[in-house]
Amino acid sequence: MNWFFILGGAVLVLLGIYQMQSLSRKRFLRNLGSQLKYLIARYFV
Amino acid sequence: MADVDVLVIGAGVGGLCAGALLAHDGKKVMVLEQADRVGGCCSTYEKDGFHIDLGASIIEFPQVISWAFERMGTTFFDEVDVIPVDPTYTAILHDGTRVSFPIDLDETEKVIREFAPDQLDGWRRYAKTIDGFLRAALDGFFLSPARNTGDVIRLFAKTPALLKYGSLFFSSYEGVLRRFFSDERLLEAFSFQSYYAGLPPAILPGHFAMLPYGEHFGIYYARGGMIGIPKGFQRCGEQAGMKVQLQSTVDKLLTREGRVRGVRLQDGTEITADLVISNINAKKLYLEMLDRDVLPKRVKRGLESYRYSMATPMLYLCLDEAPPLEGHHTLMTLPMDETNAYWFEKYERGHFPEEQFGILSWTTHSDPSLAPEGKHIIAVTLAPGPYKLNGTTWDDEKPRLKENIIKHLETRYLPGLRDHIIHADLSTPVDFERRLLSPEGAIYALRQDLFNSMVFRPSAESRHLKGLYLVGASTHPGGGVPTVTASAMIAVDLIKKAEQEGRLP
Repeated sequence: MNWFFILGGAVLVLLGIYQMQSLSRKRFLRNLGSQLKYLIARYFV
Repeated sequence: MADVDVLVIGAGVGGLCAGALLAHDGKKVMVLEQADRVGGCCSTYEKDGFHIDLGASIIEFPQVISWAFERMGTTFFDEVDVIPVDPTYTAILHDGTRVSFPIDLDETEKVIREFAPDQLDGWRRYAKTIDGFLRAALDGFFLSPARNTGDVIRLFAKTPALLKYGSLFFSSYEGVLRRFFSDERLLEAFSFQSYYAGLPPAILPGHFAMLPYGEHFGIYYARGGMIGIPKGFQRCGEQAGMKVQLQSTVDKLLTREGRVRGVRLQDGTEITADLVISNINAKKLYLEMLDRDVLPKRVKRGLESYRYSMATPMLYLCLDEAPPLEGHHTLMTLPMDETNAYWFEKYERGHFPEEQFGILSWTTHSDPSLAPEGKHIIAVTLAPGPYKLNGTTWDDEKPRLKENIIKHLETRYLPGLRDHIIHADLSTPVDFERRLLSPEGAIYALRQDLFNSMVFRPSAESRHLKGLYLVGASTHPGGGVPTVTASAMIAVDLIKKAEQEGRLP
C-alpha cells in the first residue's frame, strides 16, 4: 500500500512539473530547490 | 492542580475557535490576548464613528467555518450576521478594462463569453476540474492533520478522489491556470488571487488555483465588521464558561520534563494549565518563548529555516462620498508576468513602489452602518511589502508613500479621491508587527509554498512538548479564516485522541 502511494506520488510530481511552462517551471523549481536542505529539519518541527 | 485545563495564547479566529470547542467539551478554558480586542488579522477598529477592518475583508468557504459552529450545536449563519457579497469581485486590468464575475456560475460564463469568447471552453474545463478538486478537498484535506507521512497517506486513503488532482500540488498557480487559459487578460483577472495565499503565481502551489473559482461557493462580509466572526466564536465559548483576558501578553512558556505546564505573562504572573494551545507564530513561540535547552538542535535549525509570510501594507480611507466602484471587492491587477516580476524584482529586493496593485475593499457598500450616514470606507490592501526596505525604513518612508499612493489611486482608479478623504491611515508591515506582535508583520505566519506546507509546516501537536498544540496560520492547513478555523478543529480532534489514549493528564 505504501509503495503504491510513493510511486503514485512520484508520478504526480513529475506530471505536475512537466505541465508547467518553462519560465514558470524554472521559478517554481528554483524556489523549491533553495529549500531542499531544510526539509528533514522541518519535518521534525 | 493547574489553574485552568486549557490556556490559549492569542485570541485570533483559530485560538477562539479551539477554546470555544474545548469549553463546550467541559474544559475550563482561558484565552490570553495581547491586544485590546479579539480577532488578530480578522478584526475591526473604530475611529471617529468609522468601523475599519484591520486585515481580512471577506470570507470564503463559509461551510468550513460553519462545521466548527455545528460542533457547538449552532451554525455560522445563526451566530454571525453575514452579508453575501456579489459579484465576487471586479477586476480593473492594467489597460483600464473592468470585468466583474458574479457569484452565479451561469452568469460568470456569460461574462467570459463576452470578455474572451475563445476562453469559454477553457473556463468550463477549469470549472469542472476545480469543482471536483474542491469537493474532494473540502471532504478530506481541511480537517486531516498532516503531522507526518502516515497522516498524509491516511488523508489520501480517506479521500482517494484527491489523488486524481494530485498533480495540482506539484505545479504552480500559474502553471495550473495556463493549462486552461491562453488569454493574457483573463489570466490577469485571475492572477492577483495568488497573493491571497501569500506568494506570486509562479511559485504558489497549483492547488491554490482553486481561489478564483472557489469564490463562487459564496463569499460573505460580517455585518458590523469582520470582527463579528471571532466575536461569534468568543460568544459561543463564553456561553460554555470560556474566559477571554485582553491586554495580557505572554512572555514565556513554562515547561517541566518535556511537558508544558503553563505560561508566564509580561508582568510576571504565572498561569498553570494542563494544555496550552498556541495561536501565535510558531517560529516565535518555539525560538523566543522557550528556554534554550528545550528543543533539539535539528528542530531549531528547521524553525530557523522558515521564512515569514509576506506582509501587506494597508491604506485605510474614510470618505465623504461613495467611490466610483462596482461592489465590495475590486482588484487592481497587473498582467500575470508583471505580478510575478513584482515579487522577484521589487519585493525580494526590498523595494515598494508607489504605483500599486492590490484590492479595494469598499466595506460600506455591503454594510453602510460601518460609517456615519453618507460616509464611506475603503480598505486598500496593497501589494506585498518587504519587511526591510532597501536603503530606508518604513517609518521614514510612510508619509511620502501615503501621499504618493493616494495620488496613484486618484489617477488610475478613484478620480477626485483626494477631495473626499476625511481620514487616511497607512499601516506598514512594521505597524502590523507592533500592533499584532506578528513577526515581520506576516499575515499568514509562514510562507505557504510546497516545502512549508503539510508535513513541513510546524505540527499541530508538538513533537517535543507534551500538552502543547498549535492552531492558526503557522500550522496545517495554513493562513486564511476558514483554514485557521480548520486548524482549530484539527487540534481539538488531536487533543481528544490523546486523551482517549491516556497521553494527557
